[in-house]
Amino acid sequence: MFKELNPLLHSELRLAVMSVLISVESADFVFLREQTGATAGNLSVQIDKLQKAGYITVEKGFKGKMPRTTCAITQEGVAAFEEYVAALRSYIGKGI
Amino acid sequence: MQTKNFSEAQSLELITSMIQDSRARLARNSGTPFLIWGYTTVAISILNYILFQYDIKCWWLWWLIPLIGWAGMMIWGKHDNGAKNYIDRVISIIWSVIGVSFLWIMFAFVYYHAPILFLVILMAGMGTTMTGFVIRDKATQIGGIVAMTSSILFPLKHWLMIRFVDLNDIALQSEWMSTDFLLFAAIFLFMMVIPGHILNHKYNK
Repeated sequence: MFKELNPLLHSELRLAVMSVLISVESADFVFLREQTGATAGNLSVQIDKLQKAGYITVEKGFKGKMPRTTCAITQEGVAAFEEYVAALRSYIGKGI
Repeated sequence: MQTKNFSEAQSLELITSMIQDSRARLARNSGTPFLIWGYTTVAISILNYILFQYDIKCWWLWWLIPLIGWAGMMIWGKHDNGAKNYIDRVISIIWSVIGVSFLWIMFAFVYYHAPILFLVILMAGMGTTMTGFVIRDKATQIGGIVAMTSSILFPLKHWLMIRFVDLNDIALQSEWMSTDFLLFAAIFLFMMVIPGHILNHKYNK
């Protein structure tokens, strides 16, 4: 029996954002944009969805005089990510 | 990158590449702090040795090491790459603790003539060794261990000087002591400059 893939994470850009955030403690918007290669508008929308799901935290601050948005994964986000990877493995392991 | 759904295999591929790329990007220029502190210390130590040969004793020159080092770190810190990982935090804690210890060693040297070169090399060697194990880099581990082991040369040299050098011969005693600066520079070269270049070469490809 295949586990169902979390639809919120089974989307290229949201999964990319979560993968970056799982490997760091925190990352700012520019770092995420450069790593994922997404447009600012699209990235902003996806970050908002992940935040609303409670998977990431978003803090607005300043770096010098420039505004800076910093994102970090939450415990809930880590759990969802791990569950997603486990579900993926069950698919791959069964020859898909 | 789009928001469209995609296959399970593509998902795993994306996760792997994102994690690897982020780690590689954060590791870029990770040898630069070693180069800042290493080159500064080597230069000031050699300068002090040269001045000592002309009987010019500028002890205050040693204070240029923390001044230039911290200024260099501040400038380097401005090129923030936008993300922080757990390794950065651990290394930052290690060197903050050691940095405070250096101030304490300086205080002990100024007021109680504590053996500063021995203590600085020992502490910096400990920091470098720990950093090497945290980042899993052989050159840094070796540099740190070589420094920690070599730190014993300073008290050993002093012990030999007391036994074999005529303490009434001020010039000879002075010459003997000034070689401490060259030894100090050489250890920093092995401990920080060489691992710093190796790290940058490894991660900046």
